[in-house]
Amino acid sequence: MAVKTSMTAEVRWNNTKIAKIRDISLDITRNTLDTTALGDLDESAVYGVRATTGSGTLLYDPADTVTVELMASILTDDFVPSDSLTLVLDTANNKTISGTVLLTSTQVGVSTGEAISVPVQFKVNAKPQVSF
Amino acid sequence: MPVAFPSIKPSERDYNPPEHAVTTIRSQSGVTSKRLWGSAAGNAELILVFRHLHPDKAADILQAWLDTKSGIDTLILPAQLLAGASTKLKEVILPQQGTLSWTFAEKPTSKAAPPIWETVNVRLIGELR
Repeated sequence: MAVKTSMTAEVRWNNTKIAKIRDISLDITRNTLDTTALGDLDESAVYGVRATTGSGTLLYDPADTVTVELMASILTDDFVPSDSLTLVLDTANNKTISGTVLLTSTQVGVSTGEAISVPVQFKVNAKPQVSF
Repeated sequence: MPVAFPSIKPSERDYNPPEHAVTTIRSQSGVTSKRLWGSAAGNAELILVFRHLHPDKAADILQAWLDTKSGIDTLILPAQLLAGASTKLKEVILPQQGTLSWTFAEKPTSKAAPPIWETVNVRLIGELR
């Protein structure tokens, strides 16, 4: 087995590959709840709830329908999330992390001599589906 | 019939000591007279917070409330409630189990936190009966 690189990875929005994406990261965290009692010398805790959030940077390509669709999705007036995001770690072996996401931030950055970039932030609704 | 309070160490404990029944009269000349009624102090309070308990343990505390018939019957307090207190402080808080009769001062409350944990607040009173 070889270590995988970005060469084997891709990102899909509503099951369609995003043409150009510079980077993406996904954080899965679980908070903890303190259960330290009187007389204890060490802190103790139990698991609280899990949260999955992420961020990434798209490169703006108006010809790529998915990129445009993703950028526009923050302007939809839906209350219930329905968009899905899939981070494919290994396209050959279908190793993925996916889930329904809520897009929480979209920026458009234009700089001289640089490609127009679109940093986005998102939150995964409920538990992500993973296949590591 | 006394009910055993569950043996769970609290996260927080507040204690208000008992007090003697005293009547104070202040005359027009400014002299204060105090009359002591009886020799024993009563109405101590023990306010306990049990943070992030497993629901089963929270249920044990709520069941104890029902078992005392809403604070009519008395409680047997376990040593765990005074966890962290020195021997000397324990003797001050619970000098003689026979002197004060402990029971619920009010309904315990249980507040849920995701995913399953319960924080239970309990207010006990030590009465002269």
